Amino acid sequence: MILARLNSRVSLRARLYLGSAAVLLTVGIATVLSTTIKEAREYCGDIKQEVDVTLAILEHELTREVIIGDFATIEEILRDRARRDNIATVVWEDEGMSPLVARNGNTVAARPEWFASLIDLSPPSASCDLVVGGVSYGKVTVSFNAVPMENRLWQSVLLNVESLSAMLVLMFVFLAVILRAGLAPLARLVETAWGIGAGDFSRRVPEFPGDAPDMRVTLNAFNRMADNVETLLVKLAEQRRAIDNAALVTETDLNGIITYANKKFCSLIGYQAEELVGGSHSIVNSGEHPPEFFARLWQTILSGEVWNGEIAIRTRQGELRWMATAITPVLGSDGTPVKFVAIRFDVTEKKLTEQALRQSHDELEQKVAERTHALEDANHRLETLSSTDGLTGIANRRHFDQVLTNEWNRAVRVRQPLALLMLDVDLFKNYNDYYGHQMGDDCLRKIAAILLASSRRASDLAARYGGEEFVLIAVDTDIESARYLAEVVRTSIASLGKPHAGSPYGKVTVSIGVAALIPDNAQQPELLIQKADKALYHAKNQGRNRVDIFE
Amino acid sequence: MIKTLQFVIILLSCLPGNMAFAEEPLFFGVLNQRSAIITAQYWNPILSYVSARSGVPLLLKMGRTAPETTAMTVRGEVAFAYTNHLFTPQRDRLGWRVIARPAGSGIQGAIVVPEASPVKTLAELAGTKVGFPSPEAFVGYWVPMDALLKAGVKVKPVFAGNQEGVMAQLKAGRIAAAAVNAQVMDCYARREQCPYRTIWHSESYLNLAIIAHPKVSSDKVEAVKDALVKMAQDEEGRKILQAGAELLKSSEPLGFVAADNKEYDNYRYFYRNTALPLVNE
Repeated sequence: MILARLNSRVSLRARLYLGSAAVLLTVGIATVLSTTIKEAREYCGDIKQEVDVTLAILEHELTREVIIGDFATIEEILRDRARRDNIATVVWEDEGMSPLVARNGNTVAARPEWFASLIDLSPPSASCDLVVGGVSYGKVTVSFNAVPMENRLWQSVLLNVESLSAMLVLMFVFLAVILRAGLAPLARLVETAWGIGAGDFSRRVPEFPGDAPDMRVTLNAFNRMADNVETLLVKLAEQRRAIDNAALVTETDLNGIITYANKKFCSLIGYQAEELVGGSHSIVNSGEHPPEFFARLWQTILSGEVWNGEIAIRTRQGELRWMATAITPVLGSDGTPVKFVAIRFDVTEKKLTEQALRQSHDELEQKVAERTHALEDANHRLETLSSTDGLTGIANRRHFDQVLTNEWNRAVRVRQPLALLMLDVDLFKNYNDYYGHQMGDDCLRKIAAILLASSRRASDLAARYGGEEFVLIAVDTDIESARYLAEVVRTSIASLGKPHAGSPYGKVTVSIGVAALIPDNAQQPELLIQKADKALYHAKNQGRNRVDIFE
Repeated sequence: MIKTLQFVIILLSCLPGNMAFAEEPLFFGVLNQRSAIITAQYWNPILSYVSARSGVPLLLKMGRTAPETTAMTVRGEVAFAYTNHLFTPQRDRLGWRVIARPAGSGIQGAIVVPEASPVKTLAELAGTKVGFPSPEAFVGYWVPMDALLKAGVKVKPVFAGNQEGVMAQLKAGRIAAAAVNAQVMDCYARREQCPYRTIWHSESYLNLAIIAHPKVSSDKVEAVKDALVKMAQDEEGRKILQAGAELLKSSEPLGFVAADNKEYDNYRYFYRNTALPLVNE
């Protein structure tokens, strides 16, 4: 994070300088430290060895002299040994005498104290007894001096630091020379980029023979990119010109503020581009669309989708114009819209034509519907008339034949019984003759009403078969159920109590023949009629006002 | 050193009837036949033993060179001395008394050359460098130089300071021949793996004498003499003597024997008849 922030604020040149310096300093400091530590360790090892050697030499030199008792030579030996840099003091002491001490006065601490504390050499002090032949000649003590080694190490550190500084300076000079020559192509590239950015798309980065190979690759890549960009921009300009000639184009920001409007748009709505740019797009709002329309539009384009549709706009002169519009969101790097481009085509004429056509079509459809309805009514009336008996209002013989054929075929398919009641008004000729045809017709209507009321199921059909004969089709009805139904019909008619002077029963009665069967493909519907007719014949022969079945 | 002496004094004060250690130590001078360190390694144990046995505290004393040691002896700076330099006519009159000498047959002066040297006779040494321990050395200088002078051979004398010093120069090839104490040379050659060849040797003289200064009281002299003479018979003393012999690679008999002035008369005879001038006497 910190590195990224630093990188964003520090130039490449500075980064190279700082990075190289950091590496060099790190390596240099590590080298100085390791060298110093190594030398200090070696010194500690050497000093231990030197302790033994020095004491051995002193023991040998001093022993001879203390035997002889030559104190001047003893002092000279002590002074000679103390003259060595790494020895602080050399002391010879014996019982009954003051110690002879030789000190090193040559050593000057050139190193700072903190350096001495840091490396902490802690030089040893060692001594040995001088004993020859069991006789002690005292003790010699040598204190070692770390200052010379500390000075040497300090000088080594200073030398290394100087070398490091020199290397740093050399490296900076070297880097400066390399960067100056090496980055010159980049400077030309930047200058060219600014030129292209300013609109001069023909600018290219010049290449020189002295440019580094990798820089030449970069420049070539940039120039190729500039070629492609120029080609692309030319194409885009052509396409834009074509679009501007054909369409009305505006650009808006995310708040609907117009940022661009082409001439075609401006001339259509009667505003100058300067009047539009910076203003809200609602300036062309026609008021033709409800708020929900624009809410859906904004929802679509803010989600990054293209909105296509027709919008009515209003010109400065108040004229309503219809636009076939495509609003395309321009997406940013994060995938969210940054602006919107609206491309419109004026479809006002088409829209008006469509509206006129639609109106004509609607009117025509309405007329056709009215005529069709009238025809349907007429057809229905005709159909009703063709299938209804004009006197009684129930189905006529023709309709009966159609229904019987249909039900017969259905019964064949479903293997269910089909029953037929055939009814004849007893001695109806006498009734007509006695009461007149009007009363006869009325009697027939009443009987038809009873028969119609008895056909309770939708699939049942009561029909006038001809003259004073009626029929009733009862589907899915066996012979016993049919007999029962016929008995109900007969009883209901007899219960009317309609006087019949020409009848032995004194009232209007009917005779009913009943037939029922489960038809098959080998039989015809006429078979059922024949059987019911025979049963009717039998009922009449047996005295009328009764029900007989065909068995 | 003083600490050691105090220890010895305390030790001996515990012995009944012995009251000797309230005194200052007496110096025992030893002539520079070997380096000071080897001399001290050899004599310090002997002197410590004799001090303890005799009740006479003795301290080793020696000069840097044999002449210095002899000069100290002549000046009377030591009470006892191990030397053969005091038999010249004039020094003989100082009154030093011979009290003992190392056991053994005596010493001979010799002129030796490296084994590989082509020199066979004294005459072949004419004009060459011949090493001597010091002008004071009896068998190392007086006796061989006397022989050379009497043989008419003139050499270039080189003085090395002590017996082993001249032997080391011979070994190093700095001199053509060395005039030495034959016994000391023999020990040195064995110790240092230094083969040599003797081209001349003198008659036998008694080894260096242990002499006492005339001012030292007779009882102290006798006590020291007694301790020395009985040393080889004492277990502790014998160990010290054996260690000393091993140090010097000596094959001589261990210990000391009693001696008197007469046994060294041939020294005195030599000095009276030598061809060398007695200028530094």
